[in-house]
Amino acid sequence: MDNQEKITSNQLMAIMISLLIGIGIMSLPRTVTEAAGPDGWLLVPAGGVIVIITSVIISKLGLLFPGKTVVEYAGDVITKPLGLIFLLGLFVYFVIFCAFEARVLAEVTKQFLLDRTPTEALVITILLACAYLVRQDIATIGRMGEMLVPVFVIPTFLFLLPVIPQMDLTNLLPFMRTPPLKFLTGIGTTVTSFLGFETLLLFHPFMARPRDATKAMVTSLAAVTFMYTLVVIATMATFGMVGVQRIIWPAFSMYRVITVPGAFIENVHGVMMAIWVVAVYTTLAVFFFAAVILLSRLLGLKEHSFIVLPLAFLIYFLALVPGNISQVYSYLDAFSVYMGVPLCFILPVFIFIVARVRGMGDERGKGHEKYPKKGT
Amino acid sequence: MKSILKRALNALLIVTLVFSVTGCWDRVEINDRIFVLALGIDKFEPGQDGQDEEGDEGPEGVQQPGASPRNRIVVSIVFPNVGLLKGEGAIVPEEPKAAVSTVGPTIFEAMRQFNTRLLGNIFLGHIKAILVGEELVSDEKLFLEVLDELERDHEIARDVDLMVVKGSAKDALFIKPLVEPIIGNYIEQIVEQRRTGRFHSKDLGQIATSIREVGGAPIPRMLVGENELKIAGTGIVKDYKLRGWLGEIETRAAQWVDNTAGEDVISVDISGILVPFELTELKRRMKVWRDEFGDIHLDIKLEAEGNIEGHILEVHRDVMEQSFIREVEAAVNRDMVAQCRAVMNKMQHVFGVDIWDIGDYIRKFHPDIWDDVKDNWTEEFTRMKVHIAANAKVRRVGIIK
Repeated sequence: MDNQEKITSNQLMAIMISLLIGIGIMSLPRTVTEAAGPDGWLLVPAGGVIVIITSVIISKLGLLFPGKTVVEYAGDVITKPLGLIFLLGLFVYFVIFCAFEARVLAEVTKQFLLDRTPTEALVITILLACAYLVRQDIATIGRMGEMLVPVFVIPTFLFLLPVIPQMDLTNLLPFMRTPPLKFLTGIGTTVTSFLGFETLLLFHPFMARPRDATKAMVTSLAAVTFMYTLVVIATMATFGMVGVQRIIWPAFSMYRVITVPGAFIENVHGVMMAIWVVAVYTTLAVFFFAAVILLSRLLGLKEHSFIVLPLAFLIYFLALVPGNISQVYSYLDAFSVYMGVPLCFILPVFIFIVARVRGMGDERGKGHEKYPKKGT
Repeated sequence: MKSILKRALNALLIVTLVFSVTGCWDRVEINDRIFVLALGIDKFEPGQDGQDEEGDEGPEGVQQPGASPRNRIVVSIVFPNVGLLKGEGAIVPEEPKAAVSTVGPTIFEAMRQFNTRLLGNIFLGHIKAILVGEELVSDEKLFLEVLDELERDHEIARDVDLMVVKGSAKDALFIKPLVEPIIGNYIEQIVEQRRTGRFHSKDLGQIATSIREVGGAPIPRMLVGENELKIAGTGIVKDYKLRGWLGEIETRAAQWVDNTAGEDVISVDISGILVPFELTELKRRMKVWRDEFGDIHLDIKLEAEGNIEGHILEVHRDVMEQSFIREVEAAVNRDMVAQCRAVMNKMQHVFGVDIWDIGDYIRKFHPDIWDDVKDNWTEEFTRMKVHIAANAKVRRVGIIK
């Protein structure tokens, strides 16, 4: 562990923001509106709160086992076989998630920009670009995050401004008329768009100052929640409740209505598309990195870079499994609910509870004294 | 030696990458693009321009299309002659724009047929206006198919203006306008200047959403002249097809109710003299309430401001007099209320279409009422009691007394 490079709290925040903003944001306005109608936008902060609580638990879990990733302590806490099943499940989940990211990226770029480029070419290109990054260590990924987060966060806000004249905020009315039960089940669909925060299970020991992880997680998740909420509100205000539900990627279509007055070239959505590709790239790279780290630790490897390319091929083939866009999304929904929710919410919390009940770990955080405080 | 080999390998790698990675399947040179500026879609009527049973596809005028199940719609496009605008090419085409038309089963199959005679890649991303023919909108099935195709295509923006043409959309695209030669821009500029309330603007996304939601929508109407186009009036779609028209004056009143009216001039009768009143500002307030019998009431209040623009030269009454101004205000109020009431009556009792999305307003602001009426809103709309009032204020009278 000591020979690994460490990441600062800012880098963890950058990793989390770049990780969470990916394929989900483009269809999020549709899914929340389908779930709760005009109150859909409220599901986002509600889901965000649940995710923040879970991430705090995960970072507390990390503090119990200083310097260890989930790979090392899961077996100790919930017995070896159960731990192994959990870790393998997590690995499969990361790999499949990468495949979905690559596939949805390919589908959207094919739909809007590159109709004739084969899906295979798009998937290979993005996977190779990611593989190049994933062969490096976590500090490189952290620096990449710090560099790229402004690239897609700033334009997302900036390009909302010209849409404002088209917005009709009364589309968000009536307020809080959704039946509570429907609202609660709706939160279930929203939390899946925050999937990715669970990589903290692996990244925690890489922190230069592990105690800062909780704060960094809360800040970055709150920022993402804010951004999601804003995009959802803007999209619903632009298209209305019924309009949003009909559009497959409403957030894109919203950026499509921007016209720069007087200019012949008036479709800003091409720029937005390119920016979104960057956002998906970072998401894919971090998930890929998590999968690689998990597998290399599980196999007890000293060096992770050589399993990157074989894994890239696995992801490539998985990405091409769904036959069409409708299958992509029905698989993705099933995957997020049946794999994402248990692996990222239920099991980490369960492990934390078991660890506390069994009185395991380094409760007072004594272990952290091994890691002298560095300037961040 | 080793480093030379390594360098050579690197150089080879770079060269290979330059040739292999930059390949792009989707490259289209900008001068190979046909930038469609306006798209017209009509229902195909066999025999409309002389009939020939033989040719079922192809350019009209070369081969006359006949009656065939494949001939369902006429698709026409207008695009600028980029060669002329650039001033390039061996032979510069004379016309600044070109319009072509074909017959086909669906919009996009028809589009492909253009590739048998046009040079370039037809690009719909810059469409300024979509015109649909009257006959097409009267055919429920075709109209819904066309709307879906237009909305589904990723190149066509959702905020492009959609209009229904009285007559055929093809005719509208083939004229040579006097003022602005390129038809798409022509239509867009008329819509954007909004100097009158005689037409309203609705875009593709709004119309498609509204038709999907309630089965009806008001669509701006276009009239075609010899060498000009006129946007005025409204086509009313109900239950997925065109049911009738609102005239220009009715459209203006409908927009007052809708709170979307731009500036305009209304001439009111003051003891036999028509006084033009320039409407500079108009606000509408709307209130929905339910009385003890369960009837729904709609209060509409118009707050208008404007200027007197004319009287009569022989001065028998001073325009600066307060009493005269009161009289003008009262006349404006009377006329506006009468016009709004007329159009409201027509919508409630002739067409039965809620073109103002009052249902949507109730859903947003009075969800309790909405829960009771949403299942048969159309009927409730026709039964709704409407109270219209206007309050006009004269602010200026021109530069003579």
